[in-house]
Parts: sequence; C-alpha cells; structure tokens
Amino acid sequence: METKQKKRISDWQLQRYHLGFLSTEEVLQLEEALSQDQQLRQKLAELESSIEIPPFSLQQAEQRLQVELKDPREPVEKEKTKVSSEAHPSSLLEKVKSWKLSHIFLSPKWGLAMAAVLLLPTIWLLRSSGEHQGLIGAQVKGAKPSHISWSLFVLQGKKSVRLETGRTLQPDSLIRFQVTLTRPMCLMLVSLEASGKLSLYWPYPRRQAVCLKAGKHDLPKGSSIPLDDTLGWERFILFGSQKTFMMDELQKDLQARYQRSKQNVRHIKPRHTPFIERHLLVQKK
Amino acid sequence: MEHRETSQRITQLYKAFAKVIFVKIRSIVLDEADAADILQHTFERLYIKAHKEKGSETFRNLFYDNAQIHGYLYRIAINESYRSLQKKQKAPQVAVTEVFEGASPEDLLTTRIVSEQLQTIDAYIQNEADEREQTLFYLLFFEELKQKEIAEILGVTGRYVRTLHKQLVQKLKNRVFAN
Repeated sequence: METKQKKRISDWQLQRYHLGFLSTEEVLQLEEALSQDQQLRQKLAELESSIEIPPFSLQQAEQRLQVELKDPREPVEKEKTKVSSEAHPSSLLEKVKSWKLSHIFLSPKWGLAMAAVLLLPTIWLLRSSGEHQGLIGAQVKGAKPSHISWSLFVLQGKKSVRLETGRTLQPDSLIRFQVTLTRPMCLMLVSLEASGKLSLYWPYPRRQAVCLKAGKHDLPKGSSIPLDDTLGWERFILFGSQKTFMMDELQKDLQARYQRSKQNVRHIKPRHTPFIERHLLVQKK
Repeated sequence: MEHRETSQRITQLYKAFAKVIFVKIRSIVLDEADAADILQHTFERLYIKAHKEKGSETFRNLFYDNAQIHGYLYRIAINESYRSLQKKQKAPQVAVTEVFEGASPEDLLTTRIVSEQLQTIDAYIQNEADEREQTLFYLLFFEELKQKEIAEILGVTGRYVRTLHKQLVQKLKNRVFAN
C-alpha cells in the first residue's frame, strides 16, 4: 500500500522552476514531485509549449500613463497603498529643500536631525549603488571553484582521448565532457568562438542550466557532440551555480568580456562570481 | 531611468515572462481573450509604476532583478484576474471556516446565515481592502499558497506575512462578528 504523501506544488513554484529561480535543493524536490505527478508534468509542458501571445502595446501603455498622470485621484490611491510605500532619498531631499534655514538651526536637536536626514540616504545610496549591476539571478554562496572539475574527451575511433587545454582538434571531431561535482550544482556549458559567437553546448536546446547531484557526470549523457567546422580558437566555458539560471543571463556578460579582451577568446580569463567557471581552450585546424 | 530604457526593459520582461503569466491568468479566468487583456493590463501597470518611481533606487533594484520582478508581475496578475472574476460575479467562494481557522465554534454559530458572512468578506475585500490585503487574500484562500511562497511574491519576510494575515483575519472578524 502506498503511504507516501504527494507534496503539493503550486503554480508559483512551477513557474519559478521553469524560469530557473529555484535553488538546487528546491529543484531536486520539484523534479521528484514531477516524476510522480502526471498533472504537474502536464502543467510544466504547457509552460514549455509555444503559445501565441499578443504583443505588448507600448502605445496603449503610454496612453494610460498620460491619463493616470492627469488623474486627480492619484494621491488618494497612493494613500490607500501606503503600506508598501518606502521613503526614498529623492523624496527626503525634497522635504529638506522645503524647510527654512532658520528652522534647522533653532536648536542642536534640529541640527543633528538635519545631519542624519542628509547623511543616511547618502550612505544608503552609496552602499546600494554597487548592487544589481551585471549578472543577475544566480548565486554561488558557499560554493567554491574546487567543487567542480572537468575534462574534455575527443573520440578517436572507439577510444576516448583526454585533451588538455590549448590542444588542436579537427573540425567535426566528436567530443564529450566529464564533470565531477563534490556537491549538487546547476550547470551549463557554452562555447565562445574566435568571432565572438556564443553557442550552447549543453543542455541543448534548453537554455536553462540543469541541476546535477554530486558525483561524476558525462555531458551529454551517453553521447558526444560534433564540433562545428568554424576554424580558429574556441573557448569552452562551464558555468556552475547553486541556483538554476538561464543562458540569457550569461550572454551579455560574456560579450562584454570578449570586447574587453580585444575580441580575442584566448585572453578571456575565468572569473568565479557570481558563477563558478571552468574554461578550456581548443584550436580547430 | 530614461524613458527609452524603461520601454526596452518592459519589452524584455514581456518576452521573458508574458507566457508564464498568461498561462496563470488563463487558468483563473478561463478565457483566452480576457487573459490577453489582463496580461496587457499587468504590464501596463508595471510601465506606469516604472515611470512614477523613476527616481527610486528601491524600485530600480526590483525592476532589474528578474526573480523579484517576476513576483511583482505575478501578484499584479493574480489581483487583476480575481478582480475581473469578481466584476463578472464568477469568483470562487471561500468557506468562512477556512478564513477564520481557529475561531471558536460559538463565534461561527452566532452568525445565522453563512452567505451573509461571505457577502461581508467579499464587500470588504472588494471595496475597503488595500491592494496588498487583496493579494494576500487571493493568495491565501484561492491559490492556497504557503506563507513562504506568499512572502516571495510580496517581496517581504515570512514573519511579515504572518502579521499581515493576522491583521486581515482580525479585520474580517470585526466586520463579520460585529452583530
């Protein structure tokens, strides 16, 4: 008799899974639930299927904005939702500007209050200005680069030969990767060609990182990938994170790094925040 | 935030999230055309918010964080969908006992007609509750989400959700059991 109770997965959690916002632990739990629940699989398939959605009308939004800006009811609505409103530096500064100087220097209390009002938002602004630039969505909190090791194998006849970075390969060679993880991690393997073109190698064609348990894994599992026929240097980069992530999150950053390295893939250096990275360089001749 | 930058970001967000949000809205309103309207309305609200809050660093952080903005869009979509259903008088009904979990049986028995209680709750949620309370109500009783998930959607802590929940139930109790 089956006594194991199914864990209820909400639409919210399923969406977060589909979008790649769940942690490794949550992903593993959800995948377990998916393997048991047919209805849940159908819901996920619906999210992954292609649905025709009308395009967003910016013009309509702009018209509505103009109407709202002229609407005298606006302050009332603002007051109604004041639970969520937060004081921000610009509104504080406006308030301070409206004060008269004589009011400020009436007593030391006012002077101290004034200094606090002016300094605190500035400090807060300075502290927050460094955040949310560049990559988003993934974290490697608590994970170290040593948690991932990997090797590149090229298929020669029936043998797999391990290659070191910098080696030469023929176009159309069959390759596969072997990754060893010391802790569960979400991975994605991409390659950057000499022309700056970014290609997804694994998990193809899904553009979302796949979470794997600790241990040894073949990428792709049980098969190999043919190299394309573009000649020149190619850099394979394995990205790891504790949370799953999308390829779009890497794209912009990699392109910027390619530009900074004077459009030379050989000069791009591994970086370990916010993703753990492993690099391999090959030359196709 | 420049006007152009906002428009670009909204378009980018629409590409990334429109489908998942649309599927959710459609599962509530059960109508493709209504779902498409609500989807447009949801993103319009984000567009307006982005223009009104263009000086705010807090909003900027939310606007450029995919995980956070997904929660924001999800809660607007849920709100708009249930409001649309309520306008059409098709909203699902919540059992009073579900809302007042923990209320004494005497409390529940003192009110004679259950439908009156439901009307009182409905009237409060539609006319008096602020947007956050409405969202909380829909997420708790229609979507049946856990407090942790609600906290993610609202962008607050689990403890704050518990406080909001208590306050909401107290307000509803005051109205329902007033007589």
